[in-house]
Amino acid sequence: MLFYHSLIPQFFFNFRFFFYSNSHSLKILIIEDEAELVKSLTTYLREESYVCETASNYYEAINKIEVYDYDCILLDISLPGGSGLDILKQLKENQKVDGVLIISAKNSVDDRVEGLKFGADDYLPKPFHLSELSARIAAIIRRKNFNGNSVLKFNEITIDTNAKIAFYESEVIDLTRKEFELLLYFVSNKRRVISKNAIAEHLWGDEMDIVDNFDFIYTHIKNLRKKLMEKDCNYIKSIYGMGYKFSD
Amino acid sequence: MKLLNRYNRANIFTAIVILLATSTAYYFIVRTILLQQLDRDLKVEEQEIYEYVKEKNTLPTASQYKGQEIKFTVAKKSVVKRQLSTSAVFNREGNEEEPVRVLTFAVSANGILYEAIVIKSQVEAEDLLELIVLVTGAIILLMLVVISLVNRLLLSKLWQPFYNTLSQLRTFDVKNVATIKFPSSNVDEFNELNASVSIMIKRINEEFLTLKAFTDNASHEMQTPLAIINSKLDILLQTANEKQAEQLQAVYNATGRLTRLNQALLLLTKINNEQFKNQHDINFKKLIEQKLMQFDELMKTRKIKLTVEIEEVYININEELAEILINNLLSNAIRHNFKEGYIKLQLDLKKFSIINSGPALTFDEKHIFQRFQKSSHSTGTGLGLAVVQQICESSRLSIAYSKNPDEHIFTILFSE
Repeated sequence: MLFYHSLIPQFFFNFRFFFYSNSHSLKILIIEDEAELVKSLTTYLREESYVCETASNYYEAINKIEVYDYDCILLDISLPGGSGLDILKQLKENQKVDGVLIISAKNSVDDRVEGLKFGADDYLPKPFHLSELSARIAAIIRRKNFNGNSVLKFNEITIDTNAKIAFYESEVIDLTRKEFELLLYFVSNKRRVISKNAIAEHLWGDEMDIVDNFDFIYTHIKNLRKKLMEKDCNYIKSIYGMGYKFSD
Repeated sequence: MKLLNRYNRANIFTAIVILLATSTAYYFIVRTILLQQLDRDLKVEEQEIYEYVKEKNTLPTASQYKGQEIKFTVAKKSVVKRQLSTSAVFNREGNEEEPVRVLTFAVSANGILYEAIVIKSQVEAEDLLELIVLVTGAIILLMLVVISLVNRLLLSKLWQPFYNTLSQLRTFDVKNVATIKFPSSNVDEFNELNASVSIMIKRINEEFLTLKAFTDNASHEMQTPLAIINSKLDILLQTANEKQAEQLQAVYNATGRLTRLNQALLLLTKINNEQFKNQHDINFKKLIEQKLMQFDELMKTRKIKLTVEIEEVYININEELAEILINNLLSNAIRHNFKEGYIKLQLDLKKFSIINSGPALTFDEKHIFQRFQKSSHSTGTGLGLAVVQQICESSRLSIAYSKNPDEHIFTILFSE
């Protein structure tokens, strides 16, 4: 097992801390033609205090991206009126720096490669968990807004997403890679209930196909909780055995 | 057999039969004519002898010169029968029998009855016949050679458009939409064939494109409702109470299973349509080690003992498929294993084997690679091994399953 604190400990002293989450409202454009999915996305993301706008077809999307700037754009590739890839090209031509997360029903490597080539920041195949989406959006915004030098905070806990180190106040929390990922996922979805399924898929990816066995996530969550409890942080709460919530 | 050869064979056979029949008939006809000619000569001789005797009332001198002999003997009986016959005598050198034509008749001179014999050699006639047979044989040979040469040249030239079409069809690949162009021929049948084939190819291409589009569409159409269900579940989850939580968990699990099922089915269709064309040499050793790292935790939790004997081997395969292949085989070996069981991996230039302990199959091992075939205790999609087999097939690898008591062995052979 790798213990990340050993990688770049000296980094700690060079950090500039950013507290962006409450400084201004982050704007998200959801380009998606499936009305019910759009409803779910806006409901979930608004609760994370994002400002959500929507576009249900190609032209609406083009109009919006030409007029406004967004912190992150959720982009479906198959749209009525045109391809999401053309929207990407348009963004590039207009020299926009909006973060783009492609949400596509076509989970193919070619699609992914092409999307990323045209300047998308990430690619999330449908179907996905909203907690996963939220974590990816947060990651894109961190990278865009803070030039990759980004830090996440939850009360006394600070996470350096670049160096992959977590701190309790100024003290390094000794975490395995999986535990670190888990903590980051929790903090990205703080105060939301995350299903076991979403956690399993986040940690192992859906290709592993053994995600219906939740033993693994129990082990990791148990260990992470123990390490946090040592610092008196009882943040991980089990929700009726079907999910977890990271909250104070 | 080639059409040309079959045609040639029939042609030559007929020609030989006709030639043999006609030359036999010819032989007999010529032979009869020659014999008649000989007989006529003999009768002329007879006539001359009669006239000589009538005029001079004495026998002409017996003579023997080239090819003809006249002999007189006093008749032993009172009646001499006039007859024509074929016989054989020794020639003058006395070393060879020669066929002869003999005319025997009675002639009276000075009141004595003589038996006159006129013999004419058939050698010349035989020689002529021989010559005829030889010439006929030569003609047969010449004909055979000429016929087969002409057929070969003419027919292969005539059939050239057909062979062109054939070679074009052989290179036909449904994935390459580039249309096949047939040169027009001056033979109506070939033009018709080409036209029909062109129409067929066009239809196949259209069908293939429709099928491909269907795969993409099916993916889109199924994944979107799944995405909606998932997102609604995630929202419901935020406010669920304890009672609902249990139901939600069941729906989550079912949705997850449906998602994996859908993905596996789409993957199978995609492999079937050969949409993973990009093959290159993949370092199998590296890939396996990488996958083992991913599965490390899983194996440790189940206390599975891992034995690895692998060499550096490069396999020509699509990278994405290779990953899925190893993934499915490994997760299969872990899933259907005993707690504290074992997995052995062996990789060399010839084959890759994955051996794992595990309970016996609850179905016939023949069906192990069939879709939706799974053991009663399995919670998988039932598609993992079907995908494995499909990948092997499309990558021209062969996979086999064998078993020992409480042990399962999958072997992939890298045959060139």
